Amino acid sequence: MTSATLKKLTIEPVTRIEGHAKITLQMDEAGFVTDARFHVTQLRGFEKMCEGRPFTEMPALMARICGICPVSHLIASAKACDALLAVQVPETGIKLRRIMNLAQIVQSHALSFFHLSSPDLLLGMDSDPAKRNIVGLFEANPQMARDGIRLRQFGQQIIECLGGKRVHPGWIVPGGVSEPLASEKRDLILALLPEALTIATRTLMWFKSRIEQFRTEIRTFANFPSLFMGLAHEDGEISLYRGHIRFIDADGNIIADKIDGLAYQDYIGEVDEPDTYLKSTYYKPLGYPNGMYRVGPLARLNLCRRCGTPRADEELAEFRELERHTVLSSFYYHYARLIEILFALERIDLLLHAPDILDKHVRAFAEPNNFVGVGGSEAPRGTLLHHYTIDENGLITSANLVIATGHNNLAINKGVLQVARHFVKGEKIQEGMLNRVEAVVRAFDPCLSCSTHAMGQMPMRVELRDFDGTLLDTALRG
Amino acid sequence: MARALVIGFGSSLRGDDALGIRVVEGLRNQVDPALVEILTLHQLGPELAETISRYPLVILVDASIEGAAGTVRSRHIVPDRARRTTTHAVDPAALLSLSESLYGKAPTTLLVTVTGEEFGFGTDISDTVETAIPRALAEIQYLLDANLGEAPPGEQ
Repeated sequence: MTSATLKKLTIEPVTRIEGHAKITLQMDEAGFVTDARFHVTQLRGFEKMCEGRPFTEMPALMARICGICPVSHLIASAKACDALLAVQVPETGIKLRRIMNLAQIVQSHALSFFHLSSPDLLLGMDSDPAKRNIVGLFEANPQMARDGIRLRQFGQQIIECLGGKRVHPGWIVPGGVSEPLASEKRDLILALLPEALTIATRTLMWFKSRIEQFRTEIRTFANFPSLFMGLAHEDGEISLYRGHIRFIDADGNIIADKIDGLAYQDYIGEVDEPDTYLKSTYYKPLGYPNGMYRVGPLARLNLCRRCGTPRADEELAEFRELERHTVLSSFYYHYARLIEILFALERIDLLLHAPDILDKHVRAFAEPNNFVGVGGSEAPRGTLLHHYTIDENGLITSANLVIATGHNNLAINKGVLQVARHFVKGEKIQEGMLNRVEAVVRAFDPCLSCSTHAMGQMPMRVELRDFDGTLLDTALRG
Repeated sequence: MARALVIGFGSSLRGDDALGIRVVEGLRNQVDPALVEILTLHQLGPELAETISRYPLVILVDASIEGAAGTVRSRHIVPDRARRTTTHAVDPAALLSLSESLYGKAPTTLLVTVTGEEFGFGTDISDTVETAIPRALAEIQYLLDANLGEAPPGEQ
């Protein structure tokens, strides 16, 4: 096949994801997809902004990267600073950090499931695009819409309760947290839990009742063998805060374990590619691109032996029956997200009942004792690493962030190609085909982090062009 | 329960985009918190639909790119289900529509905007626009007085 016979199809922007991206599909003259690329068209630039600033500013500054998952950046950044200080965070401080992290998992997963993906799941992949959005969802199933809003509010209320603000709280600091938990705040959060658990259970039941309708999507949505990576703890429970990096293969065998601190650089390679601002990461021992791996809810459920809470463990057992082994279809990211919501709610309840949860000793203090610090946490979308170096004055000399969407980038690209090859055929663009190409990206819930807000419409324009740029077909959405 | 909710929104790291937040922070000392509640946000999210449904009056304060820098404008917002919502932010009219359809109430809602000048990275408001903040505060105070009027008996 020569390049003269190829056509390019561009989907820009990809809708219902966090941030701005586009997809290009390369097609041959018969209209078959030969290649697919997911491009992130926005630049973050935070690493450069940090240089020369005191390391103590990092958690609050890094939280500004994202309005959806600021707590993940707070935690990874604070853990990197803990490593710079070489302190042991008090046990109660760790528990409080975990509660805030779990609350963020709930609100972020609720956003992904209810607001971004459920229009596809409720209304169908081929439904009218004018209604296949959050407003259409609200009209079709108001109860589900109210559930999504309530679950988001629940997570945000906990974050606000602990940190004083629902977005960008500065409560998590190097060495622990800045304030202990007051008993009235604990009681307030406990009072919110039963309703949230009811919603989580109801939504899981609903999702499981719909799965059969998506057999084709399950088979084609980034469904292939790959490695999986995430934090793992020796007790075998799902790990969102504690533990070390672990890789497993597609059969569930551990291939690298207990990777801590700077050792991540021996296992995780990063590649800059010319057509995207998003770095792709890969498992170094297998090289690029063979070292593709996945992170996030699906990876975490594949990595753990159990959740460690009763109802989530029941759901995990059922989840494991899906493929009788490691679950490989990325369509099941949605399912995994709902199980994690249930787990998070149960774990918050357990942590709030811990005898030392109101202890006043929540922070350790020290001067910097190391020039290098690496911190990791499980963000809603996967493993997040912050790596800082400082000079003798405690000023940042370099910062490197390895984000979940970067870990998943190779798998997202392969998933887009798989879906496009299955669904996109011929020269005439059909809405349902393109929606599935976008929906596989949404399954990963990529977070591309915006630095400013935008009001107004976000239309999608799709163009099918010949290799020399000749416009063959156009579809407009919005 | 407060009778009005004032929401300032924008990015505090993008220069004049922080105008909404700066203005409502300035309002805190001017209003009775028992009557007027104040909220600052990065952006408007769909979950606000439930929150705003609990107030008779909502005033949204945002930066704008329309007109000359420092221009202060206000207008009524009406529910509009046709307005699109983006991935994690909703248009004010769409937010009102969500509130109406899901919770049966769409509060009287006004949008106050201040036209910004510089939206690059930074935490400072540009000088031209800084001077507009007192005018924006006066406008919000006028709107509160005009729309809240006399409190019903028992709410004084």
